[in-house]
Amino acid sequence: METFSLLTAGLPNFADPFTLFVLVAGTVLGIFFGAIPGLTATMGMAIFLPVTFNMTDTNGILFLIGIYVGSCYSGSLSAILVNIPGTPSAIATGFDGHAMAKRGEAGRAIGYSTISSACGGLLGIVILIFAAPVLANLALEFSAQEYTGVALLGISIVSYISFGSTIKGLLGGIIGLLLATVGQDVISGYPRLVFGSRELEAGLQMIPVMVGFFGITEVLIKLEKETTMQVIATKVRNVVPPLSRLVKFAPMMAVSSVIGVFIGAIPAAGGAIASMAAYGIQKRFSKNSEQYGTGVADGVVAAEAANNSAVGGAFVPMLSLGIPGDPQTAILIGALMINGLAPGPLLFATRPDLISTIYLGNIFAVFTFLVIGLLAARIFAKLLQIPSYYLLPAILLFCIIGSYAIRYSVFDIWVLLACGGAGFLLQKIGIMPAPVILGFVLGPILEDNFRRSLIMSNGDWTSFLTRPLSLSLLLVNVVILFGPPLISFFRKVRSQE
Amino acid sequence: MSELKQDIFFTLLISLGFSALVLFDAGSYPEVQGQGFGQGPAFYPRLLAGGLGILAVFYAITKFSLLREKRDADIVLETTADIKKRPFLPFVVFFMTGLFVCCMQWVGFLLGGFLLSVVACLCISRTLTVRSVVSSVLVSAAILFLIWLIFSFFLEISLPGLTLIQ
Repeated sequence: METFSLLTAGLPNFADPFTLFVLVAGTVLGIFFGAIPGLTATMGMAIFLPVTFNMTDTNGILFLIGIYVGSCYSGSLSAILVNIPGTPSAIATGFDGHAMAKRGEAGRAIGYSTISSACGGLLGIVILIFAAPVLANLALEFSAQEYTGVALLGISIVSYISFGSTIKGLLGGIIGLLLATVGQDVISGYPRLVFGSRELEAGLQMIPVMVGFFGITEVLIKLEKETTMQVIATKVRNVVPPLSRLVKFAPMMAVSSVIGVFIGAIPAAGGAIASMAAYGIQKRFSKNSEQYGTGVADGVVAAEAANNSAVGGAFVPMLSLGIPGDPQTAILIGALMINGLAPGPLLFATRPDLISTIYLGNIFAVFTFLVIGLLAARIFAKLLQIPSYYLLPAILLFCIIGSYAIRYSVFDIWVLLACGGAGFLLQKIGIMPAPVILGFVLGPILEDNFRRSLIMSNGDWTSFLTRPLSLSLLLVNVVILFGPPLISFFRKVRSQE
Repeated sequence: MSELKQDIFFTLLISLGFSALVLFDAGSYPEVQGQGFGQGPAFYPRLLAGGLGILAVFYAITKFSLLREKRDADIVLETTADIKKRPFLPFVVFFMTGLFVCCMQWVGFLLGGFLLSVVACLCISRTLTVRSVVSSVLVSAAILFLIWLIFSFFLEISLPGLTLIQ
């Protein structure tokens, strides 16, 4: 009953036509950003985050959810048509989707992708609705030590799965944590790392930093590489697959969705890993595994169901613990913080209507992309032909005005450009923006809880080890960071023997 | 310098440089008494900066040992011939953007943004024909109109104005 009341508490918000418009507009924008290679969900959310500043908290969150959900689906469009995934979570879709397109079945591939994305998305939300309150109740038992462990866990995981090396990911995470210390110390009020600047005493604003690292950095990276795409000259038709085939794929969609939700719930894992894992598992246990990669619909269905169900999974730690499940939920956390809301277990008690709005918004966004994907796939296929020399300056200008619009401050534009330039240079040495931003978002949580733990225990560091839950979290951190290198070291020693 | 040596050098430079900067600044923070464990505002940044420096050195040491192993082995270089690199273009566009921000208060966002967009389109496409100029002008005008529509019209955010006219 409590779950049902939590689900329906936000229904009145959807009576406003503007709210529905905002959600649909966000989903359409998300489909645009996800479909075009080079534009990502994270970039789209970061660029339009400042726009939400002038909306109500519910409309702002719904707009960003629309972009998130829409782009998770539409990455498959370019993966199928040009074999370049629009988003990392569509990599596995391209294995079979593009092969189908080369055979003249692009429309059918898009149809399978759309419907399995929708099924995966809905199943992910159902699991979210039941799992998040349970985890939130558990999180109410957390003290400062446990929150320190959870924040460290987010950084450890994103470092581990970071492209490149784990150490580079950790370096990025620490840089992000240091950026979060700029401004007044929360306990003493003393200004840190401000170098005499009055503007920096208020700290670095979240929007320019996020937009800088996810928007400007990506623009600069794209400018450096000139990639050419060859769109397959094929008509997108017969999009809707036969019902009998869909029924046959139902168990596969369900299994892939469950895999996607659980992987999506791991902080910093995300849809890319979820879709690859689901694809790999389905291939492993399939009777016709040798056909995977040659253009079978099974591959498209498995990957797409997982990558969209991972969205629901990513919301679980975000809503219940206030820890981002992926960079996109890190931006959503930023949006909540901008509106004075602290994500975490208390949000379920103080704003059940917002929690319900997030659930219902996800559901509505899924149905929106389902309709658009089945009816308007041909139109979005045309988007792939927009040249990057028109898109990149547009993104640049949107980033600039978005950062300016928060406080009408030119200083924020300079912060944006500085972060964009820093992100570009860091990426040249293999440090990706995601760990930096996660460190920046988790920084206040980590510092606040870490220092509070030490103050409450009078400087006793063993307080992190004497609490069972805190100790468990620290052990998980140690295993994630040191486990793989130790395993490969012992394997090397054994092979030498 | 080989790619690996470059990677080690720049990783050390950026990480140790940032770490040193933080430690230097933290040295000027006051020590605050009476907060249990003697924590002050410098405690946490110093901890992070120290961790950053140690990790960077550890990374360099592990990569140096890899470097030594690779000297004895045949190294096969993989080239990515299908992706053309334009190393100077990001810096050119970045510089132009900085210039635009500096001039924005006099020229205004709309006019300055329009000029930036046209020049950036032409630089990125690397074509200078009548057709490319006309299409860049039209697309840039459309982009600025869209920005004005979203931010100024719908969200009622005043864009940095045109001081020359005022």
